[in-house]
Amino acid sequence: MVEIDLDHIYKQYPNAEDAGYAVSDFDLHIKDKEFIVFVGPSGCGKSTTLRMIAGLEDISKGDLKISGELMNDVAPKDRNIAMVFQNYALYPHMTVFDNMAFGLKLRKYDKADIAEKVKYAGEVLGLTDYLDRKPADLSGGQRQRVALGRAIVRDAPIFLMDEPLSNLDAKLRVSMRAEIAKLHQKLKTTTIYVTHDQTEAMTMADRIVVMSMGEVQQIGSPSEVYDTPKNKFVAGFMGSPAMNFFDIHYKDSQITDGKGLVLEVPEGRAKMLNSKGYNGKDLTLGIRPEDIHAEETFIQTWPNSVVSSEVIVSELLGATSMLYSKVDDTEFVATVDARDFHNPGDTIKMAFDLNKAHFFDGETTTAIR
Amino acid sequence: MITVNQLKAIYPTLKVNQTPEHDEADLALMVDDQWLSIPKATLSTSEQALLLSLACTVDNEHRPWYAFLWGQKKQVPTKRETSVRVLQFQVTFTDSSGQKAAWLEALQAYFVKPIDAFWLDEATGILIETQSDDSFETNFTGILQSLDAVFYTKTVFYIGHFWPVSVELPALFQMERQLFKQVQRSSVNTLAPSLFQSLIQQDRLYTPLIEALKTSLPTDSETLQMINTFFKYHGKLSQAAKALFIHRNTLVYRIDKFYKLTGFDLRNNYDLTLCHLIMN
Repeated sequence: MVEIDLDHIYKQYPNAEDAGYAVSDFDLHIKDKEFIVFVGPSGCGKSTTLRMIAGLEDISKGDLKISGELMNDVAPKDRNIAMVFQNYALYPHMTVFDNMAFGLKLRKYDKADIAEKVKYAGEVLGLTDYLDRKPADLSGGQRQRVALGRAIVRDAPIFLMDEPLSNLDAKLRVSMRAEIAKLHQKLKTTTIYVTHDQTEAMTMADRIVVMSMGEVQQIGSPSEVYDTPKNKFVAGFMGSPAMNFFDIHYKDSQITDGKGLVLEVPEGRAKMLNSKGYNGKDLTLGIRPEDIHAEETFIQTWPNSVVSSEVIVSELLGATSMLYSKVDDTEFVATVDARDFHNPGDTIKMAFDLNKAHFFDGETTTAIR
Repeated sequence: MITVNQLKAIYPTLKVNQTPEHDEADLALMVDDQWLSIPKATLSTSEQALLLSLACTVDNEHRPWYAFLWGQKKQVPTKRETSVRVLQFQVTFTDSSGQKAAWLEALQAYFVKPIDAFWLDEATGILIETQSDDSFETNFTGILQSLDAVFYTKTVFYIGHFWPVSVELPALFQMERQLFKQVQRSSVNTLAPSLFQSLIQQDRLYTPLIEALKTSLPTDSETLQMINTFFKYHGKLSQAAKALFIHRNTLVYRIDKFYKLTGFDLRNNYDLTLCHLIMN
């Protein structure tokens, strides 16, 4: 049983005092067998945090505990952690077996023990039939699995993965994503996975830690961070295509952006905004593309949330279609049913489901709930 | 201590070599300051282990490539007409459990034709590699990250140029060493950017000019990240914007803003390269 506690962790690089903290006040309890994903744009501090857990970076302030034991000054090799990086290289002259066994041989493991561990990793990763092959005879996905195998043979109770799929092409990335998720179900190893790809975070995580500028923005399950983002950053970062944002003015149950968008806020939401003192204030309205509808039933249901918009670009994706549209000068994207596909230049009616919309404070960008 | 002649009597297939180069099928060892090789096929595993323990640790001075590259011997250490590249490495071990030998063994295993590899001191060393068809395919970042993942090390590579093995090589190598000491910008460093940056830093005549430019340029991390990313993507707006997680138009806006502020137009290759080098 392994639990990881990051207790108000800070990282400041020496000679960079002016630049502030690379990571500040990172506070998280990771449960046994949990799959945690750190997600955020490059430079947000997610890899630095991972490296602090591994012991490859010093912790400037705060405590790191693994199973209750303080780890700040424990050497990386004694933390019992296996790492998988973004870029990996296999030994070109060695077989798959030897590639996975080499690290153990260098550590003077017993031969029979090595064989057993490699055999197990081979079985888990579906590489049993390839153990005698050399890397050149493997596909990209198989090579990636060998790289994972090198971590598995170490039998560590914690896996740290730093963008392990970033170097793969889009198709392989999708299939390896599923492979890693399956692997976690089999091994139940506590895993921390770092990525800048929100889709990877959404599909793989038990819980997601969204980071920006060295600070944790939100921690929650994929559905929590998607459905109830704490601020505009999380709302915009999670989801593809991204949430539409409109700078609006709210007054007496009505919102307007001064560029052609005028909508009626449903009673419940208006009540909430009024009670929080936002009547007459500037806000940001956020609405996900799938919450903008072109179907007739929706248009009839919410007559006060309907806009007449012009389709600029339309993309048919099979089951759905994306309509990049605008109301006067306000641009937005809607994901609608493929049956509601429209050609560029068409002027159509679209309904904004404001019950599902998000409102953010105009100054702090915090979500208003 | 066993002598070469005694060994030769026991293992008639033993060869005495001029250089440490040997086939993979041979066991290589040094006895009496001589490089020896014995076909592994004629040896049992325990014999191999015994022979390796009998062989002495090789001092760098006894390595023909060390003596050649450090100018102690003029003799070119290989008879083959070939080009070699020297990979310099600097390794920070996070523990003191003496993994140096294993680390070096693991590094060598990544190369098709390593001639020799050795430590120069506690933290730095070199690997000499012969040029082959796939030399330019070597994934140095992958090797570095894999080694760091296994050994919990923090490694910096400086990848030299392939030079023909000739009497000029030691001087060229020493210059590369000098560059490595001065310029370390990322974990994997190559000749061209290091040399370019060094040219800017070294020409003292223009130092005040460069310093003045440096002071006049913005120092915030957002601008620096924008310039580095734009440079990395060869000035391609869409790709750089994607990597920066911003809209292409936002990047255009920031580039225009930078131009108005500094007079450098990042869409111009000379301006972009100069700003990139000065700000880093």
